[in-house]
Amino acid sequence: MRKSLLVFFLLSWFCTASLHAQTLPHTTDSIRQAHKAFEALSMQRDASWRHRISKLERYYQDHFSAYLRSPESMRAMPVDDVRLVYETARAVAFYSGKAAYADDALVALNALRARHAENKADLQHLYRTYISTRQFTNARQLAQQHPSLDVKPLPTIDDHVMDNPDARPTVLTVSAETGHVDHVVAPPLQDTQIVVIAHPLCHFTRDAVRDLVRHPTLWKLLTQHAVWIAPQDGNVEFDAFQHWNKAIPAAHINIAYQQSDWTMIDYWGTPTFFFLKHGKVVDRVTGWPKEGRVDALLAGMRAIGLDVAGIGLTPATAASK
Amino acid sequence: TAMMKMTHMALLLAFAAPCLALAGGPPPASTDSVSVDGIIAYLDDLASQQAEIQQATAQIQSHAELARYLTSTPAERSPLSKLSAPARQRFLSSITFNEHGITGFSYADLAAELTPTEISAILRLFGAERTVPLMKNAHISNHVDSLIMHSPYLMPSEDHEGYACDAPGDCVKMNDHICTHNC
Repeated sequence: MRKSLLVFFLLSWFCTASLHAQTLPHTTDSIRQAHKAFEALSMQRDASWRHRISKLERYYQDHFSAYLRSPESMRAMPVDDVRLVYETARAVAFYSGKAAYADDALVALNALRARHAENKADLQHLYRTYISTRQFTNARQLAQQHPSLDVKPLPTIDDHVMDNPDARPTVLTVSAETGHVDHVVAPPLQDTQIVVIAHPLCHFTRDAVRDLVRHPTLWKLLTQHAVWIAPQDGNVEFDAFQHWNKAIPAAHINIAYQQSDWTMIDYWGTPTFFFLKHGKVVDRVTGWPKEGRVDALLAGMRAIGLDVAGIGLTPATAASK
Repeated sequence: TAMMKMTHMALLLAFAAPCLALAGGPPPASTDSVSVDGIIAYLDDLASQQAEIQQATAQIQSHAELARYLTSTPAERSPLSKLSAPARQRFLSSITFNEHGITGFSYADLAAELTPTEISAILRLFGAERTVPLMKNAHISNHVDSLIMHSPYLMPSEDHEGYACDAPGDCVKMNDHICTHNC
């Protein structure tokens, strides 16, 4: 019996050690190459946001996450390599919006701190990472612990999401009048719905609105059926949202709290117009080039049963066709 | 005296009306009745005009002009030489242009290696020096650096940090990138 137990423990140790050895790259070159490959992967455009995130997460899991599961493995690494692990964890948190990767970034940052290699920029990046992954308490604590961090303070965000039995998406909404930020449940989608992914700081979003307001009937129809949502990110520029919401109340932009909650939305480039019927995407118009996309917008509206008869192209737009 | 009081009141009201007009009066109600002209005026704000002025005077507005600059400018005269060779390569590779000039770039290496003054000198070549305050982690080493990072005249309202310019006309999330107003 004792011999069996001994053999069992020896085999377990051997298997674990082998798995550990297989999982972790052995050389600095391999970490740097993995980081370079991850960066190249992150720069690839993808029509599907989910597919893009999935690729990055998979690559991260295969090449980096083992270090964060075994922080002691980073003790023997050159500091520059530890920093690459930190940068990659931070980047995958940026793209995915998932708190688990922000936690990984902190593990790597602690490894840098243990080597006295943490700097102000690292902490500033972590601050934004916490905000993008909606760990607002952690962000505030970090700013309080490091008063010289020189980051824009996070405003008070009142949480009104107590009861959400239907698990509807939630948003951050910025008051046009006061600039106050609230976390609320998004209104239910209508049977005939347009979802506009937009951002006040995106030049193409501004171009789209500038063109569309010149078609009063189209603008009215659009804004009557549209909700405007900005992507989830680590920006604290809530005043940009306040100014936009005050200047263009018919296109009040809220901010996605978790992009993954918007299951029907698979692309978060701005502006993108999704046309939904009974919760299903029927059409999508992506981007707003110089010549505009009014005709594509009209087609999308027609596809969900909106009456666009009589909404024609303006003379200027018609001349450009 | 009653006549004088009435005259004073009349004078007061005569001056008060234009003063109130200049003050802008009460803020507009937050309704759908905001005018089209008001919306367009908001979208075409002063910062956009300032950005256009900077862009119009930029030395480098295309890949071809960048190539010419790199081959014709001695290293000791180029602000790009402040960057390490790998960082310079990465930064130059990240720059995108359209017919109006620079549309985006990665700022990670600029912020990691240079001061705001040095970054400004590089981005001035492209007419994008207004984006320096977005690089919050740039190392401030002196008073001029601090002025640059906090200058209200450089605060961009049209540039989009954490995003890149993508065809056909949209902004997509891209770590450590800036999408300029030209995008």
